[in-house]
Amino acid sequence: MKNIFLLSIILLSFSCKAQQIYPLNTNFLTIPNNAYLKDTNNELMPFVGMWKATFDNKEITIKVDKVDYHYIKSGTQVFYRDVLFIRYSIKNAQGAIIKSTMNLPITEAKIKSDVTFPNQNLISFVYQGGDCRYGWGDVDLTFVDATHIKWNYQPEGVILTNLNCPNGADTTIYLPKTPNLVFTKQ
Amino acid sequence: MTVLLSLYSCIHDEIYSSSDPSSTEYTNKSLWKQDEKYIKNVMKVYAENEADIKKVNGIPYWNYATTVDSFDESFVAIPVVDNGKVISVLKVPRHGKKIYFYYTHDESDLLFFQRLVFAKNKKAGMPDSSTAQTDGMACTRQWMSMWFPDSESNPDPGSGSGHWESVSIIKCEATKDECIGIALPNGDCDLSGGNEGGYPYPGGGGEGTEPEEEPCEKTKALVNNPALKSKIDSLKKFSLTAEDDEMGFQQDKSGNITPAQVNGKHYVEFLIDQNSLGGIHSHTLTGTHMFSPKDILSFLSFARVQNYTLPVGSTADYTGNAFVGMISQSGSYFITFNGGSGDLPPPMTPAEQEAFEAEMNDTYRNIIKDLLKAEGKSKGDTLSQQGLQKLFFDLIKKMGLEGKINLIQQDGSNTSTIQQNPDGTIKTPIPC
Repeated sequence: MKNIFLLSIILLSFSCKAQQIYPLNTNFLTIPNNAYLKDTNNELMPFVGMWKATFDNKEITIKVDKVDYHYIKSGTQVFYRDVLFIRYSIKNAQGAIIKSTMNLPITEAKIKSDVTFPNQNLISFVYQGGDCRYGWGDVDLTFVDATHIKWNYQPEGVILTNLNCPNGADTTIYLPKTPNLVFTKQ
Repeated sequence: MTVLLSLYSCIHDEIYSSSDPSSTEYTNKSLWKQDEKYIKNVMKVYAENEADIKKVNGIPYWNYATTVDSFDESFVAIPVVDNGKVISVLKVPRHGKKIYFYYTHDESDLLFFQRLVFAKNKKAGMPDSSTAQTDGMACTRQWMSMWFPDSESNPDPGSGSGHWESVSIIKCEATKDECIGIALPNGDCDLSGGNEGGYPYPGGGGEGTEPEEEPCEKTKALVNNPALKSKIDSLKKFSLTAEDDEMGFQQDKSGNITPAQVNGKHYVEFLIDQNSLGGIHSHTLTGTHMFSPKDILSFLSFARVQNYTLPVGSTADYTGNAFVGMISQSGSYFITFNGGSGDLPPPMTPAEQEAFEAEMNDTYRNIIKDLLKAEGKSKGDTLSQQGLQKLFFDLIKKMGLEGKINLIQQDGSNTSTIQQNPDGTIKTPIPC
């Protein structure tokens, strides 16, 4: 019985391979499967919270949340990364909400961080776009000080077809597209 | 008794000798003239790759194979026999330079071959092969008849009474035939295992097939066509402006060019039907000047319709004719498909495509940012042309399309193939 117990421990020790952890800024194409890109330098936390800005007579509120060890799949590769998610709400001049993702579960928000640029105090995000990916592209947040960040949204173009985008899709791009829009922490 | 045993032995030997899958000998024992060159070439490929191709027990009876009245090295059906019974039919169509093996269990096919291989009194007939249309596809049907005597005491159709009963096998020209594995009852194909990309045909493209033009030459001819060239030039001018809109044009197989739909910013919409050939579109000044994941998926939709308008009986494969062009301020590129329709990835359901697009968009943007860092650049900078080209190859590898899409650079009057070295670096452009 004792031998069986010892053998089990030995086998377990072989099967439990330590997960490889890399800094957040590591190129994901160079890491092994199931590796973890961890926010070892605490780059993400300064962006977490509720932020507000006004642009084009609209009030834009964003809520930034941090999720550790988020599962990411890329083709046949799987890895984990500490990430930020952005949910947003946009009100018109009359105070009516014209678009909001605030009620979505955090990890279903369509704006998720990927790469950080520490030299620019910048966290880059990917926005998956609206209907049929309209307006998909990058959102960049730059840290200014503890109460201010800058927002830059760069939509990418996309080819749609009658086969992959049905009629009736909403082609409005709601996210503010203006350089260096300053948000203030709430 | 001795005579009977000898007779059994003769019959047994005959069947055995006709069924040796490793044999390179072929003797036509069907009731019709066959495309023997195609059958022999297919036998050779089968013998070399049997371990991968074979999906069912049993032995292919090559001598009873039928090319169903086709003689252009395009199709053969072979009965697979186990324990004295035809248990499956191996069908081998050729598309371009590749042949594809798949098994069917269609009852009428099994009955046809069961009688062809084992019936004593049989004849080609009813009375000739005929053509038929099935589900809008061109089909060829081959009939045979088997004699059913009223009495076993006189089974001879020449002297006894009885009746002839006809069965047939049907061959249809359809892209659905691009399947290997086992054809399921619902018509879907079990693609588990095997070489889904088909096998090179030893006879090359087959007689009567036009030599395939190199992708670079083909693109060069395309972009130098005056009608398309004027549209490319107008897109180039547009791409230099600070407009948020994109522009595009699409071309049909007859050469007609129409504007793509644009009803909002940052997109163009192509209407794809069976006559569509390809499309060109601009990317905005500040966007990424390379094909995005959805651009590539839309291109595959063009590629899928290239064989839809093939004439009846044609074995040509025009998948490589589809194209999509991306015209931008920093550079212009075209993509074409490297392979036949059997090399295309299977279409996805809307839900699968939604998830795949999200995954690949994340991948694409992540690669861009890592490449910017590798080039010592900041966020907001643009990638070099080599960086953009590497982005393309890294992306199609992630999409499972490595080696399947040609990247052609169009720079003024120069057209070049862009390729990657095994170490991931980009080769010097190869002009054509």
